[in-house]
Amino acid sequence: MTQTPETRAAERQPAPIDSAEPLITVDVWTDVVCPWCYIGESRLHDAIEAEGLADQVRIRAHSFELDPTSPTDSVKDNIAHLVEAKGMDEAKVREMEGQIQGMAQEMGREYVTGRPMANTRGVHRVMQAIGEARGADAATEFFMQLQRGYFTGALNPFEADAVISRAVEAGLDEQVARAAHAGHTHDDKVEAEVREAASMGARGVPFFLFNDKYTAPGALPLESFRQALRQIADETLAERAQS
Amino acid sequence: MSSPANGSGSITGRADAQKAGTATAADAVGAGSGTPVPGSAAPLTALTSLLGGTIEAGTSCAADGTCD
Repeated sequence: MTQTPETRAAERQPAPIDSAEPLITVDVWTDVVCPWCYIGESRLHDAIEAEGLADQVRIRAHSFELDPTSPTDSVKDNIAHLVEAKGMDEAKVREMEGQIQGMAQEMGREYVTGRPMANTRGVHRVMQAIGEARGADAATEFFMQLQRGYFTGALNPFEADAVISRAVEAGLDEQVARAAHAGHTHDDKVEAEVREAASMGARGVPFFLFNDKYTAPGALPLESFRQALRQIADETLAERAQS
Repeated sequence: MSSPANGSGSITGRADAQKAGTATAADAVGAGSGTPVPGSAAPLTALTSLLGGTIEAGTSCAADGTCD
């Protein structure tokens, strides 16, 4: 079936709970353990605040698995994981972690190193379940809370109870959350979102899509996000004035 | 945490991207305006086209789990 921006957007929002029409919708493909996603999303949030567009931008998180081959039952330190599973040099990994930590701290964000690492499929399954039951906004807030908690050391997304607890706070029934986390009922939706990102050219994350039109791979600098938000807001206002 | 993560292979790290001051990595994915999405009639446009093609590249984590 031929897709249009409208049909793509409708497919991503099976249970809409918001009636307000923001000027800008930002779809972001992301993984809970992705450092550049955390940095990029933080910059996007800062750009939205700096441009005074907090009420005019809607963000929707989408599933992307950085490493679907990671074992679900073997939680390791993320540095050890990269060294052992990916054959990367430990000193290089620590250096890059330090650089990203510095960038996070420059933005006033915490960033702990030596984080747990395992398969993130369970988190994505639960996010999809929340999306079905409570809408995209609730699913996005759930995901962003988990991601912030992961990078600040406040929670471990590989502990099922931690994920279930946040899902219940997001309005999902506990039994539904547990079934989604441990089962395969939402695998199709997770995999479909990963494929959708790939169909737009994503080779990694974060991957941003503004107003179903403009694609941006990677964690852009703050000023680029600000410039994009200004121009896309102006464009939307002009389109609405014409219609 | 090495290896290009943006699909281009031309940016080896954030420092390189900043030095370049261009959208090399961003352009490598969804490059140019009007890039069609498979299975979609609606063309997508690289944000770099909207912004004039002079923005710094975004940095990503690759699908193999590595981040540069």
